[in-house]
Amino acid sequence: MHRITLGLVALASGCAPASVEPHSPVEPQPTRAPLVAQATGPSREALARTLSEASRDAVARSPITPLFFGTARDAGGATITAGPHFYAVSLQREGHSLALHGVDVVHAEPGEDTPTEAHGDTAANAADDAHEGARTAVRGRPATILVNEGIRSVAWEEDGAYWSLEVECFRAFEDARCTGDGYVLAEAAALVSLRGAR
Amino acid sequence: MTARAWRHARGALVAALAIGALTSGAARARAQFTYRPAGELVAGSGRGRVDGTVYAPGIRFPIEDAPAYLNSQVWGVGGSAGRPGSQCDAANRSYPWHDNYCESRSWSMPMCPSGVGHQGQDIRAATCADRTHYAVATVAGTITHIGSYSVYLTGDDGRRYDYLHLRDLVVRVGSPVAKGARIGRVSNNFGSTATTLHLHLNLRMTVSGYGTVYAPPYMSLVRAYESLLGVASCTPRCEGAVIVGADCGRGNCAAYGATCTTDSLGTRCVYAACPPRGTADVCLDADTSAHCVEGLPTDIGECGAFAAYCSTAGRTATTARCVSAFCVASPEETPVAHDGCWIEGGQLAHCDAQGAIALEPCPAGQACTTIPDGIRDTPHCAPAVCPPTGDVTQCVEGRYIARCFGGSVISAGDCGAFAAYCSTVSAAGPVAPRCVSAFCVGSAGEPPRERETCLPDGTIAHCTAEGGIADETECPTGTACVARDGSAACEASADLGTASRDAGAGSDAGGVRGGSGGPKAIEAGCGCHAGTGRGAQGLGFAALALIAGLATRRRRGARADRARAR
Repeated sequence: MHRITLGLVALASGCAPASVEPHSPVEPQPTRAPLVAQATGPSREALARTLSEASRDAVARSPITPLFFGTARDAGGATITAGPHFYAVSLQREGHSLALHGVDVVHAEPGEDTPTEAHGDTAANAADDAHEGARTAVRGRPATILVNEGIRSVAWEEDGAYWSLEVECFRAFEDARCTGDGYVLAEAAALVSLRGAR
Repeated sequence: MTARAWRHARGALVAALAIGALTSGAARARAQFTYRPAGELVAGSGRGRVDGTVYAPGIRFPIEDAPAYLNSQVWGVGGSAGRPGSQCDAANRSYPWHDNYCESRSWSMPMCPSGVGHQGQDIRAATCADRTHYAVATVAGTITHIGSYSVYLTGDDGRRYDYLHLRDLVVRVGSPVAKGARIGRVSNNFGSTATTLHLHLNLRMTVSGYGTVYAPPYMSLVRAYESLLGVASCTPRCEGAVIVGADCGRGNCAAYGATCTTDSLGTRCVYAACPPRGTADVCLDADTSAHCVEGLPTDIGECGAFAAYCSTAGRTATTARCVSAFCVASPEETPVAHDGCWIEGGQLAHCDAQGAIALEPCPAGQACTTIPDGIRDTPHCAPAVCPPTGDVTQCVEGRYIARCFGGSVISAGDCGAFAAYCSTVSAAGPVAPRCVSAFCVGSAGEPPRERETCLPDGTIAHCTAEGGIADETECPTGTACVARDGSAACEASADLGTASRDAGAGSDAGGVRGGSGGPKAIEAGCGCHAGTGRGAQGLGFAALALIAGLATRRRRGARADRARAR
């Protein structure tokens, strides 16, 4: 299933699948852009075996179904944390990092926005396009893509949990993994559940 | 609650909240710190979200030491869209703070009014020194991710705080951190490039209707900074009936007959008698009115001080007004236009349909009276019959029992309507005015005595010592009543003519059969009882009716007396 999905993403992007190895973020390497998530990956059992003890403990404590990167060959470079209402994975890769966060709560109702006269709204004209462009689908569910200071993320709701996956590049404004949506969407699509894995 | 008590309650509530502000700590620091409202961006930098919600209540300010400055990097001095100059210009480190969430960007932002904008808040540390000022944990939690230029701190509740552009990190992924613990130093780290020296802070959380988004952090940071300065700050809220202000002052709304409410106007006490929104005039009680604005009584009216009731009779509960107690008998009575006799100076009083009263002096030598003059049966001016002052009851024109008050005849009972005189004499001497049957005495000045007499239809009537008719005896067919020397008997019809003239009173009293009865009350509210019986019983009803009328007037008089006294 994931092979098919990722293959389609790769074709749609016009890119060749590339091998992505876990890498220390301390000394980022030049990016071989554009990159798309790997189409094949180890089983969840194999991934779970490579997790640190602390990460395996976090998986066990996760308040939601724990997801993990199906494209990762070795989970040793990942750190999983969990709390009463969250589950998170931090994965370092060559020239970039991935952050997966899931929560099981809605934190707040939106406050009342009382619009006032706009003054010099230079981005107003781009608003509609940007808003439309932010909506997409991932894992068969409606999703929203946001960008924060070069950090590209996709957010969706799945089985009662609220997820977001972010990709942050050392070269935030040059690396295709952070300047386009394809990479983060492919990684989100390839996420697998670790529930039940030993 | 009286008007005075309401005023006291209002004052006490205001004072209670003020005490919280005055005793809450560093007033000096607060005086220096100012901030523009949420959503008010630097002019020309886009359209902010005007949202005062504290999305992350209770957080620690993310820079270790004050002062710190929330403002725009791009639109600040030295920024790409700001005034030319250095990023270290003093203007970049000055109050007031400015929100820069939703500042113009091309990035999609669901909670921004334009759909695009800046995701977080830029914060400058106290000085322009690089890698000097520590960023600290807003909450106790876990470091869940570190990227090239970001550090994510996630609290146990799942809210995530993103710290951008730091260097010299003292945490690593998986580190548990305490609230206020150091994370790294404020710098200009932007991966392969650099930005200005600042901390960019995001608040990443789930918001109903939006999903996982970057929520507005500005007001959360304002509250956190106030706390850092030692200025007590709280999220205004209701705790049952207790109101908690932004300065953490507390007041019990219930102690003042109010409830605590939070709506688009904020958190506030709403008084039970007032509608929560808009303006209204309401009655707090029968004596007190209030003008309400947005749930608070802003003006208290003491109707009672003006011999008036607060009344909503005949109108909605939010259009109360003072109604003269002279014009209505109770607050529940809907006022109608009518005239009456005022209780001072013999003046005529005009009540309008709103219950307001206007006084009209009578011409010289005249005073207001309720006694009909054959033309008018409503209160009018007529030659004065009462003493100019005082509250007395007296006979007028030999047939009316009139109550005089302040020169006016404020009520009168008509004995004449029941074939009776108004009399103040008895065999034992002067008595209070009363009705005496014209069949029992020959004139108003004749003291009544116990006797029998003949009525015009030939019936034997038994007069009491008070001048009432106790009972009647009909004569058998073929006989007629004959009265002699205070007694009467039925005798053959042939003797009728002579004997009935001996009765001494008889048809001179007006030819109305029925004995003394009570006085017919002229003033409205008395007549319903008058004349409903005959003889002694009828006199009792009349007295009750008169007393009832007088009691009403006495109460009104007391209100008026009170008004005059004030």
